[in-house]
Amino acid sequence: MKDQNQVDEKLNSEGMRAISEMVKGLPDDVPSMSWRSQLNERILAEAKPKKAFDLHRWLLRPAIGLGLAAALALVVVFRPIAPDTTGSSVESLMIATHQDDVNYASVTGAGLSVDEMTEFSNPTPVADPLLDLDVF
Amino acid sequence: MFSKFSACVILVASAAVGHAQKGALAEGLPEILKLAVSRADSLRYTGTRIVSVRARGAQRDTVEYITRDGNRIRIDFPNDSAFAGQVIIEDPQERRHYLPTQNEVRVLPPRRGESLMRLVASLARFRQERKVSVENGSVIAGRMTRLLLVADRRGNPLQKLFIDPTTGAVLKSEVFDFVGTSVGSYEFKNIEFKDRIDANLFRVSRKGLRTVSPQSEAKQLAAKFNLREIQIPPDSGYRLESARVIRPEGEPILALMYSGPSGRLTVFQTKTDLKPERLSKFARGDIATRTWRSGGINFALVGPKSENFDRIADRLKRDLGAQ
Amino acid sequence: MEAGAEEALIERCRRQDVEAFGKFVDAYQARVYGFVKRMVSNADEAADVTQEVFIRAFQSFTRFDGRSSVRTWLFRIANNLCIDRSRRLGRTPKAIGFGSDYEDGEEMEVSDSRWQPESLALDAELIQVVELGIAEMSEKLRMVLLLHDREEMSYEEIAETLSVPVGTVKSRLFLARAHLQSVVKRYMTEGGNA
Repeated sequence: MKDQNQVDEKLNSEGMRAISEMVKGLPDDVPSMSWRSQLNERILAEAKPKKAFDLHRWLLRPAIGLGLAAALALVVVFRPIAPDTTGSSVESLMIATHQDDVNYASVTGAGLSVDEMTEFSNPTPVADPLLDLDVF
Repeated sequence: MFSKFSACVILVASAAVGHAQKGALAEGLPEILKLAVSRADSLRYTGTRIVSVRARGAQRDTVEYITRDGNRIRIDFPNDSAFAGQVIIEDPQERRHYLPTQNEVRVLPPRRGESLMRLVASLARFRQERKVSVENGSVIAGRMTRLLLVADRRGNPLQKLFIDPTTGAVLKSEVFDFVGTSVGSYEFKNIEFKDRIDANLFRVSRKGLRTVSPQSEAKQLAAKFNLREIQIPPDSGYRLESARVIRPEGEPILALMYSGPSGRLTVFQTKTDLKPERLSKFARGDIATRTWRSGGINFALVGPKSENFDRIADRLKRDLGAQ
Repeated sequence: MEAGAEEALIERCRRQDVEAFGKFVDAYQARVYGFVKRMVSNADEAADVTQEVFIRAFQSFTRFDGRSSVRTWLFRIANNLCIDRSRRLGRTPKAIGFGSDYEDGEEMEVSDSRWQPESLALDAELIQVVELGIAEMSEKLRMVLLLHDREEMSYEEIAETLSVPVGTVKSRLFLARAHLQSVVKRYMTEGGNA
C-alpha cells in the first residue's frame, strides 16, 4: 500500500463505502441521566461559586424538559445547593494545582510566578520605583 | 567546558537514568540543547522578555527587564507595570524578591535553571516516551534561532525552545499541556549581549526591610487554619518554595510547593476526606501520589515518580505519626 | 450548531461559564461517550472516562486557543485519556492490527443481496458482529475508523488529532475497514457464525 492514490481509490470502492455506511449506522448510546447529574456536580465543584449559581439557574429553565428536571431533582433534593467539594473534586483540584505549578514554573523561571502575578500586583504603579528602593 | 550549573544538570539527569547510563546522556542530547546547557552559566546580557501564561481563566502578560551575568539574574519591571518598583535578584543560592510597597524581601530557592534542568532530566528518564527534533526556528529578538521541539510519543508537543545557535541563549520557550495546548511562553523582544555587567546591580538594600520566607508563611497558614506544620527532610534536597491556601467551598486546602532534584513536589493538607484511588486516577504520566491521615487531617503528596518520592512520603508519614 | 453560535459558546466556555459548558456537554456527550465506549469496550469505564474528558475540557478550556476545531481538541482529549487508560492497565494492542487477515487486492463481493447498508444497519445480529469486529482491532485502527466513519472527521482533522501524517490515517482507515469487511464476509458466508 505504498501508493497513496491506490489507497484513496480503495477507500472509495463500493465495498469500503458500504462498510463506512454500516459503521456510521451503528446505534449510539446516550449516557444516563444519573451520569449527567454526577458530571454537573463535578463541574459545579470545579467552577467558582458564582458560576455554580448560573448552572442551577440554567437547570431550572423549563425548556430544558423533563429529563433535566429529573436530574435537577436529584441535585436539589439529595444534594446541597452549594457545590460540595468532598469526593471527586478535591483530588482533581490537587492534581491540577500541582500540574499547573510545574508547568508555569517552566515558563516563568526566575521571573514572577503565577501566584506572585496575582498577589503582588500593585493597584497603582509607584511613580519612581528607584526612589523607593535604593539600588547600589 | 561545562560550568557548575551544567554539571549539576547533567548529574541530576544522569541520576535519573541510573548509574549504568551515566555519561551516555550528554551524547544523546541534541547539540543545540547541549550548547544551551553548557552556556547557561556564562551568558551576559540585558534584554526585555514578555511572559504570557493562561492561568485561572485569564491571560496574563508580563514585561520583564532582564539583566544576566552568568549565574546571576536581575529582573525589573516597566514603570507603567503593575509590578513597577519590584526587583527580583537570583543567584545559585537563593531568589530574593523585593517588594517596595510592603517594604519586604521574600527569600526563596532559586528557579532559573529549573526549566532546562527539568527538560534534560525528563529526556533522560523518558527517553522512549519522548520525540526530540531540531529544525530552523523563527527570528527572535532579531536573531535567527534553532527550534528544539520535544513531543510525547504520539507527537503532542510538550515544549518548544528557540535557541540562539551562536550564544546558546534560549530566546523563546513555550510549554504545552497534555493535549498539546499552550500553557504559556516567554519570548525576548530584544537582547544585547555584553562583555561585562556591573556587579552592583545584584545588590539591593533598604533600611528596615522585612525578610519573609516561605517557611514563615507556611507556619502562619498552618496555625490560622488549624493544620499541621510540616517539613520535608532537608537532606532530601527539596526546599520549600511557596505556601498557599486553596479555598474551595468546603474545607481549605493548604498547599506547600517544594522544588528539588527530581522536580517539584506538593504537600497538601485538608480536613476533607480524600480518596487515594481518585487522586492516582487523576494523576497522569510520571506523577506519583501518596495519601495518609494523621490527627484528623488528611495529607497528600504529589510529585514526580522516583525512589526519593517514596522515601519522602515515608519520612513525612513517620514524622507526623500517621495512621 | 451554527459556526457563529459555536464560536460564542466556546468563548463563554473559555471564561469558565458553567452554563455555556453545560450546552457544550449537551452537544458532544453522546458522540464522545460513543467513541470512548468503543475504545475501552466497557460501559462503566466508558462512563468514567467520558466524565473525565469533560472535566479535563472544562479545566483546560481557558487554554484552548482555537488553532484546531473544538471538536478536534475534544476528541484529542478523549483519545489521550483512552490511551492513558489502556497503558495504565498494561494492555497491549490486540492481535488484529496492521497485519489483519485482509489480503491485499481482495475486494468484498457486493452482489450479495444482503449487502445493503440500510438493511445491514438494522440487523441486530450483524450489529453485534460489527461491534465485535471493531473491538478486536488494534487501538490505532479503531480510533481512525471511529473518528472518520462515525465522527465524520476529515483525514486532516484526524491527522492533527493523532499527530500522524494524513497518509498514515488513510492507510489505517483502509486496514480497519478491510478487517471489518473480512469479518462481515465471514459472517455472511458462514451463515452467521462469524
